[in-house]
Amino acid sequence: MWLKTGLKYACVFLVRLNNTNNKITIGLPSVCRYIGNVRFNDKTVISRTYLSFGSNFKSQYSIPRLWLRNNLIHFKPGSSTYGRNFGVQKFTPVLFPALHLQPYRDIHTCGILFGEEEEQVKEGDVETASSEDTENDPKDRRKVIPPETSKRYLKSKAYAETYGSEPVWTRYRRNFKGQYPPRKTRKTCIRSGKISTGNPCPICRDEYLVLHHTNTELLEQFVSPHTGQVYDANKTGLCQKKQKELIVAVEKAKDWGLITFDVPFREYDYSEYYPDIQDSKTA
Amino acid sequence: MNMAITIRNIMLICNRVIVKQQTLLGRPFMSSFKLYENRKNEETLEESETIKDIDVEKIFIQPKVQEILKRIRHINMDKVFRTVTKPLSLPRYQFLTEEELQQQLEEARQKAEIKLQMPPVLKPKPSVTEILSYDPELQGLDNFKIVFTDITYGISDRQRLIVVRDTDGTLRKAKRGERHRMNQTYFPQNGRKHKLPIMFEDEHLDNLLQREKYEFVLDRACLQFEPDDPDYIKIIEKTYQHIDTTRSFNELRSTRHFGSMAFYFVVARKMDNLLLDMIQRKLISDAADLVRLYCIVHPDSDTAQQSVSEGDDLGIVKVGINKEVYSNVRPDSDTAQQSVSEGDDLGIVKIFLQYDSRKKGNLELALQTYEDMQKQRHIVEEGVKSAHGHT
Repeated sequence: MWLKTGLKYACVFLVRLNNTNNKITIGLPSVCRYIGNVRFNDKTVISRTYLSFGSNFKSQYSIPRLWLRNNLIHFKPGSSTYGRNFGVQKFTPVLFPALHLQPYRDIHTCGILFGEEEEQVKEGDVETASSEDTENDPKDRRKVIPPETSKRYLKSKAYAETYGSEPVWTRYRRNFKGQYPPRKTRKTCIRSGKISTGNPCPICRDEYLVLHHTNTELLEQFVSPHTGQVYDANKTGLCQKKQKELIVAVEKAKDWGLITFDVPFREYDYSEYYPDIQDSKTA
Repeated sequence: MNMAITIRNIMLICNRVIVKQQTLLGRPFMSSFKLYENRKNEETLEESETIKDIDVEKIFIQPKVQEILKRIRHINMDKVFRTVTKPLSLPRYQFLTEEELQQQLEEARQKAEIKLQMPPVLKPKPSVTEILSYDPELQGLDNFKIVFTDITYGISDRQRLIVVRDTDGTLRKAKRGERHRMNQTYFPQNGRKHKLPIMFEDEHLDNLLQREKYEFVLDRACLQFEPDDPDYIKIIEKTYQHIDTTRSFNELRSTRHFGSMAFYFVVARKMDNLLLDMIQRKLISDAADLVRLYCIVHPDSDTAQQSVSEGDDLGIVKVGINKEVYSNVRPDSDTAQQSVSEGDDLGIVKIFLQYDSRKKGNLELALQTYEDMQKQRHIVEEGVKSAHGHT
């Protein structure tokens, strides 16, 4: 982006063009950075409302390309000149402050406006319009989390803060009408890749809790230490689908030897193996 | 023909086994499990050969051997009757007199003996099938084998008649894998699986052994396999060797597997680490028992010869006692009595050290430490006695 001289008002936007759907997404942190690099007069006020406005702007507004072309400002990153010539006096926190600008006809836009510097921006902040709507949806569960991530999560500070040292199902309460809960928990919390309920079960609500036979730390929270059996879904609040997954994962872990248990006793009849002895149980 | 008559008289159920698809649940049954075939480890090969030379079955079942093994195994009631996972039940409280209490304790000891029953030590028996009849007229009849299982009540799994009619018309007795599958189908045992649990495969077994879950592995192996299955023997040998390298013999003490493990080490001539462990835990009588067992199992070894030539039966030898310890001791005191028998035990252990041990240095050092400690203890005891006025 390069600076045009002689402007009274300007807004700083960093813009990425999405060539596929002709939409432009505007991102914030780069904006902050570029504002930081630019020297303003003492009278300049960059209000906080601008920043919050910018963040609102981020995911929800995809400005049509044609509109913005007429109202765009370009900055050259690292340029020492843009402080001097840039005379920002005042920002009005209006939705489309570019309206105050004089239109330029020979504005160039290109798909690689940001280049490598933009990559240093924290991931997830500058995204294309199509993925933003869906991946930032907190109820989206299409992303598959590997079990190793889940294992690391169980040892992390975030987990400790959320659950402490209790099992993950302890603080969960099912919602139901009346005194007694229905015999069965719901069939599933996740339909078509999204959470379809307001009170998802302990496993579905936390995407980083993955039921896998190697994730023994999580599995053992659902196994009774006294009877060695997997707790009923009525006790833990798991949806039926996750309960089945849990049972399978526990069985698999026992088969792999990742979870140990008290093996049933086998009594031998010695007379079968040593035909010569008289007493069957001992020699 | 006799076989045919018995088959006619008893109830039968047929099973189809399709020849081409010999997979169970998508996993070839026992074919990916090649423990018996991959005998690359020379060490284990050597041991298996020594075991082959010695008739382990005959020796293991001798009353003397069983006695020794039970003695060295000990019974720790807290370990035997530790809390296990079982269906929840309310505790039971009883008021007992002194006699009743003793009675209950006696019953508990008997229950412990049952719980600590040693799994049989047998020679590995390869799966050999006996052909009952050739009927080439039947070939081409079906594209599957038929398995006939005798499900009469009251017959044990090992003696049950299980025969297979192959596609080429041969009637033969079932192989080990087929027998296991049929027995588990009609007489399922709790905890035993149709398919081999994946934990018995090499890498997963290594993982378990690294985590030192020896009792779990051995218990599950007992349940899953027959004692003369070569795969079972391979697994338990691997476990015993791992215990040997980590010196964690105490994990198995007071469990059913300790006797079999000690027997394995004696037969394979690898008992030095176990002996060292016993001496370090001041179990000299156990150490002597182990040496006596060694003499029984290897009667032509130097140790056995020496102990016999010293004049007594394999049990008692009076040789190499540290005279300073016992010179001033009263013959009728408890210390004296103990030290005399201890002297015998020490003696026989020393004979073993001299002739047949492979870790002479370590063992000698341990024995020396033990003797020094005993000396010190004796001196202190004497001092205390004289202080109290009993000279």
